[in-house]
Amino acid sequence: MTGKNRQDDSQDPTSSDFMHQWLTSQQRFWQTLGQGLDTSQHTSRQHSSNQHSSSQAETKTEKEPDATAGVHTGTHSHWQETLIEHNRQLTELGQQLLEALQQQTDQTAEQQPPLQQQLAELFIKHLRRNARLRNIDQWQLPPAIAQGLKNLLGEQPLMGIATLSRFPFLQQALGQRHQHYQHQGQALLHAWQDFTEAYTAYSAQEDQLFQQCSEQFTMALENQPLQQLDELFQLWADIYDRLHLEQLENTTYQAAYGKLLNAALELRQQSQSMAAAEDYRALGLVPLSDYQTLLKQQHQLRKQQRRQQQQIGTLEQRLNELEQRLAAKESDST
Amino acid sequence: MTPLDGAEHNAPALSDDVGNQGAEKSNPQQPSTQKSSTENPTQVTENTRPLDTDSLLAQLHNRQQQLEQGLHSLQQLSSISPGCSPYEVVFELEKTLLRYYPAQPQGRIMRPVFIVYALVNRPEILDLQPGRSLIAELTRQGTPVYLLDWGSPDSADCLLDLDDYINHYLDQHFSQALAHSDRQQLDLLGVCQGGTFSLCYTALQPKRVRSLITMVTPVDFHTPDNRLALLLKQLDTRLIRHQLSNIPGSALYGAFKSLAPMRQGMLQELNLAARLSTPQQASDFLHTQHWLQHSPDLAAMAFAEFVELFYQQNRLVAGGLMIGNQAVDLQQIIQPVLNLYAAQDHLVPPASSRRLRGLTRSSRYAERRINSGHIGIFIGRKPLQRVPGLITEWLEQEKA
Repeated sequence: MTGKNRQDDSQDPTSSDFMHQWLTSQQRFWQTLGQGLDTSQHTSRQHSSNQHSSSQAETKTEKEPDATAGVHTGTHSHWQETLIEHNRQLTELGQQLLEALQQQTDQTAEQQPPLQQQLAELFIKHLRRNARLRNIDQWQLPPAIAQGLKNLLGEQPLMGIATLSRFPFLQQALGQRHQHYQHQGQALLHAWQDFTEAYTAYSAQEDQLFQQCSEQFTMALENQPLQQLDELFQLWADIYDRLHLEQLENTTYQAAYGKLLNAALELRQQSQSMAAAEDYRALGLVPLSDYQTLLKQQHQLRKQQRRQQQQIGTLEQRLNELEQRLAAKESDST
Repeated sequence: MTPLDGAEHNAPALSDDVGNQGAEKSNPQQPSTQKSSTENPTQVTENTRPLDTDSLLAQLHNRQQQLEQGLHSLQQLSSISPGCSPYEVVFELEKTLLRYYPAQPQGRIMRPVFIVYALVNRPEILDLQPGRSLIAELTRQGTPVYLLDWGSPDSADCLLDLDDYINHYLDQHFSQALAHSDRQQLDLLGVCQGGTFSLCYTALQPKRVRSLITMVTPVDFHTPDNRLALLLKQLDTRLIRHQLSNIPGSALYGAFKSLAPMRQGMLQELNLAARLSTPQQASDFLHTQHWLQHSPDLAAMAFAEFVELFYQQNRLVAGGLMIGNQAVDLQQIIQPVLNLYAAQDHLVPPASSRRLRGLTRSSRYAERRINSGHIGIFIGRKPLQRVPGLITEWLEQEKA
């Protein structure tokens, strides 16, 4: 087996053309910006282009070739999308910083808030927005749990399962276990409440860290002149990761983290046991509990078989030794 | 346990040896904002004046060019498939495989070494791509390699425990390697969690192991700098045992990333374009990413047991470790031991590995510090110039 990197010469020409057009439009944007900072016309174009980069589903508002469509068709589309999305965010931040810098040159010294402070504020705002988006994405509920909650919070908790079948006897069977579902529903709701509480407590820790980092970042920036855009990111990362390390050693944080993990596991467990085993059987499906029982039995049998094989191996070895000794004795006697 | 290397995804200026020549990493405890342009190729070299509209525009334009280069590099690459050395599968047991990488024909052939990798991530990191392969270097230097590939457990394997992995799979594969190589003993090399398993196995089967090499292996799980242990301290493993759902590889990847959220997240994105600036760089980056993002799930029971016995109870050091119904006593290890640890390892802190000294009865214990991070020790250019030679020389020396 070999893993070999190949240069793919047979590129999709359409994809390359589109990408080239998109890049050209990006360059045009920056050139225009560099010439006079009048971005009003091009800004919308830039945003439009970037938004299309991150979402294929959107409808284009301008009559021009879809310059980004081809970018998604490549082999490494995930990384292409990441690059473009990050570029969009950086462009957004760049524009805000440029505007702040421009205002500094337009205004008199008395009118100006300190530049470094402005830059820090803009940067923190930018990060907070993106961090929120990431958090929401990261803590999104698994579809099965979300659906379970949806059913639970609705008035007909059985609807999701009942609509699986149009047979009246199944509806009846499910209806008979209404009490079970009510009980399970309450347990799931309780687990959900625990999870949201744990998540809130954990978020508070994260917010506190963000706040601390923002303060230290602003102070650090006031004390040193900024030369590079990258320095903003670098400085933030240095401070944030240092504070994060300190936070990991804090028992309050550890407790909040542990509680969140355990609450998430508990919620998953409750969602798994929402439906009764009898309902699965009535639908002709194998309930999870039956499957797990079988797995446990199979696992025990495997271990038993292994022990027996080891015993057989030991006995065979012993037998061989005895045979050899016997053969040696026989040859001695002859 | 795991192989995610913080510096792996960082800006070139922050990188350790991972594809970046083994430079010392910046200390995350010390904010370092004044990087010179030579330290960070992503910066605009001519710009040393305070930030103003012109210099900011120039930097944004520079970013744009990097983006363009990065996209073009990606366009030139075909699909990524880690693994570059030829091997044959000499034994299969359920989902596990025993791979045999023969020594390269030129030069003398040395004794084979049996490698045990972690359950977390795939062993392909040991043979990632040409020029970034520990196995290729070992075989080139004349050492044939047996590699135990644990496979990818699915839901039917959720009950597999440490007894199954160590006393059954590892033992069976080791027996097959002994038979295949026609030897009574083999040299054992354990990597990361595989190193912990190798310590247990050597203690349980001391007569079969000729010598033991551990690489970035956690031994003491309660050193103050063990961040994973801090996070796993309060995990209620009964919930995992009860649910019997495997732990998704992606969840572990996320947990490892969360140890250094900015370095693994924001800075990685910031420097992504620079990392893709040539097709070769892009290929290196994507190979590593492919490996990182294709972590197998972990069998629920083995994960729960590992967290309890090692992360929470620290049994290798505290004593009283039982694997199945067998007691593990590191004092049973009397063979030569070489302990390789990475100086900038944030997943397995050096102190955790170095705790091995004194826990065995080996009279020939040696340890070597490698200037790298947790992954860089396998794929970093500089570590790869040093580590394989160090292993083969030590094995030769111990043979004498």
